Amino acid sequence: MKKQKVVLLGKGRVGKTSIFKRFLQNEFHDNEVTTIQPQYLEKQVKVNTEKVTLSIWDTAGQERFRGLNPLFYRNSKAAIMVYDITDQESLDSLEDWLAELKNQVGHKIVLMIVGNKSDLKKKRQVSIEDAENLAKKVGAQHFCVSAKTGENIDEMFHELAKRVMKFVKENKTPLNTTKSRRNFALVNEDVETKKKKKKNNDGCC
Amino acid sequence: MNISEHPCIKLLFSNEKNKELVEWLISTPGTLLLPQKSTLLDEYLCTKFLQAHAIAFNSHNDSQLITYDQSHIGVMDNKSEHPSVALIHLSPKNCFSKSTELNKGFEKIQHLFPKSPEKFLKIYSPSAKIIRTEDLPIKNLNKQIRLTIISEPLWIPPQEEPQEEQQEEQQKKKENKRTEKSQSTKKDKGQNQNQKENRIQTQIQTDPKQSPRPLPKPKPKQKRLSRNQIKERLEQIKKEKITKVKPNKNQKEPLITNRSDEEQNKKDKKKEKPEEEEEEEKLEEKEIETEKDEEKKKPNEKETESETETKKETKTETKTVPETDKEKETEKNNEKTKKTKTKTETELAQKLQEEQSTLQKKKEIYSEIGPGLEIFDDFSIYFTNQEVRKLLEETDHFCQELRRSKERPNVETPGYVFDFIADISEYFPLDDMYLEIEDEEDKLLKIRVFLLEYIMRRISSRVFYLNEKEDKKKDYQLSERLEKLKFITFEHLDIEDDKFNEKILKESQEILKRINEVSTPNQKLKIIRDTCVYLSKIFTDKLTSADDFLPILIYTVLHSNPPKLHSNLQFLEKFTDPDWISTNSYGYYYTQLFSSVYFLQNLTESDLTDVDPLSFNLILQRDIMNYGKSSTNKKFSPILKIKSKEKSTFLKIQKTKNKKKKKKKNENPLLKK
Repeated sequence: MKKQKVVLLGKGRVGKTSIFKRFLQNEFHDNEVTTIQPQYLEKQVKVNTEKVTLSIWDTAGQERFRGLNPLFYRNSKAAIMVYDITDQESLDSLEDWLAELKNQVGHKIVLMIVGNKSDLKKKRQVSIEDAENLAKKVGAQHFCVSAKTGENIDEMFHELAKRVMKFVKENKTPLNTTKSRRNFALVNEDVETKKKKKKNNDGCC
Repeated sequence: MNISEHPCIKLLFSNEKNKELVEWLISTPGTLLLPQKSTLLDEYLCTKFLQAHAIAFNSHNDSQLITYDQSHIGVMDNKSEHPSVALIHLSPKNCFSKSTELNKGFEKIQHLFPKSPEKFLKIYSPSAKIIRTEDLPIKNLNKQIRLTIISEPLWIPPQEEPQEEQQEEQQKKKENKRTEKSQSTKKDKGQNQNQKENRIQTQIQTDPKQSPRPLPKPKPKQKRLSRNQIKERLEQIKKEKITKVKPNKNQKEPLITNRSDEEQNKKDKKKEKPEEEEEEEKLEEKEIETEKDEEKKKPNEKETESETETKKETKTETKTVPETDKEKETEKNNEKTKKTKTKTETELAQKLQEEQSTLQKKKEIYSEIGPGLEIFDDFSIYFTNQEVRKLLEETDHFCQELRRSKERPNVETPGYVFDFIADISEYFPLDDMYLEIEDEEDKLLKIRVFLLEYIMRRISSRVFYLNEKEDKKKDYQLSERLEKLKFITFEHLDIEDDKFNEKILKESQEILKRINEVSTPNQKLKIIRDTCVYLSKIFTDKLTSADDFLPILIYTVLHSNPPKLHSNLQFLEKFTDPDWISTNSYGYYYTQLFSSVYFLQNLTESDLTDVDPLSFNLILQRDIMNYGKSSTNKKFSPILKIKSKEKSTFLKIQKTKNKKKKKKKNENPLLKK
């Protein structure tokens, strides 16, 4: 099975990268790391007898870079939306993200909503119910993990791999047909037109 | 045969201007001429060279044909007493169509891609010396000819070979079509030279810009083939396969076992491997020799025990040398095939291990150059496959159509290329390829990625701009905007740590600028990834968050401001495989770069911290005002700061121009009124 793209989304300083790091550190014998680059990771996950290689794309979560995220969605099979359980705002911002994601990709994507920092239960602000309601609403699966202790991290990725596999099998699209190329070009044109508009505005100044 | 009578040398030196060079060459035996640049002469020479070598190949199965990039072909002959190496500049079409003809005589073709002829020779023929024509002790050298001369004996083909006749016949046929000149030089052997010189000279001097092919196949100048036409052609090939492949099999069976079945195919590979190895080992021997030479310089020549891993490797290889020596002897007696069959399995296993180690070495070399080459390496095994060859020839044909067609590349060109790739990839013999991969889609993806690189190597310079005027304008606008935004500091982007290593920052800016030095998409992607990975060294952790990384990248892009940035991004956007690019690190860093450029394009004052909206707008505005004046002269770059003196002269020129314009303008309104 070919590699599958997974995007990591979430507000800045919510712990996306630490989840990413933890996943790298928890090496089972079966799982072999194929490539590591400073912000990019490929890792093989074994589901029953089959293997999937997840190619995980970290994104910048700062508010000012939000407009750039759609550039990362293209061709991704799954998205991991991370929030901080000690920060209500981080969950709220996920809703905007979800809307944007659905706008871009449609419903054809595996979603994971992940609450990080589950080791800080005393400081908990976000109720599990809220998060699970949101997950139900968008057809996502909810996990509480801790990048610090490693709790639930492997379970989360294992579940993700399983769902991605199932998803890919169900929605088998022919590889690189001209159709997919055209869709791709459309996204491009959007960017282009935006750029044009921007330039026109500049010109007016 | 005397070197001076070699037809290609004769042709080259029938020009009187090169007489001194000829004399020098003849007085120093054992030289090879290697064209450096693509000119008409070069290409003509190449075909000649190749024909000469084709005969060499037919008589020696162990000679190797090595292409080391898309436009050069290397020929190496290990078996003769004096190993010879030739690098020949070729048009891609020649490269392939000719090599298929060569294929009759030999089976092994290796495709290796060192960066430069120098590197190539270092690896394969360390004893060869490169002399460039500039360094020759000759005064009046025709500047149009630029050759690299290698001090290695020229392989002169044995004259009376049965296959030579065939070759000569082909040669003659082509020559008849080609030019009168080659015929006359052959017949008249040096008489009436002056006339011919003039002809050749005129040919050389008038034509190089148009660069006509030496082997013009009589094709009518067509517009691009439509998709259906291509499909028809492919279908034809498929039919040919069915009819032609079968008799071939029968012919081959006595020599090599049937190739159609997978199992037997695997066995074949095992049988072939030792042969391949012999060649590789010979290469290694040379490498070892050079290493030994180096070691000799040091004290304790022989028995300094291996300390580093690399030395260990060479030792294991040296053990195999006696074996190959034995094999060489047996080969001389034409008992090679029997010997390889009788070899025990343990020997095979040993050799497999060694082969893997050499493969690793090769991959190390490739990793320096770029991802495209790994793809080539994986695929090169299949170059010997007849079906694959035909399909590749078809691809060559496609590329040539695209390059030659008068139609300018436009927005539809990428779609056209991808349609072609999608169509042709289905005709590849998937069952026989990439046996280690089970999934058919994965195989297809691999083939498509290979094909894209294969095609882009041939056409990328032609299709870089799909809309040249528009793209150049946007490049200009983008670099202008980046120049304006250079006031942005770390604080504006909320980069907390300002004790960064400045050296890394500046060096990564330089790396990014190199994006214009390479041509194919894959090479460009490599540059981008190199930039990002190098830039990440700024952080102490191995894995760093994109939260921290993106602002730094934005800062780097801003201060690097490489020329043609917009066009480069557009080019990558259009000519990369979306399935491939979305699942590897090249794609990731490309997206990072794209997004940072996008950010800078659409930046407003609210995107930066601690920026006064008024002053932000003022900066942009003021710059526009300044540039506004100079922008009347479009050729003048607004980014250059004009010194006061230059400015005054510049203004003077402008004034005179304006006066002229005013005069014209004054006339026009009168007419209108």
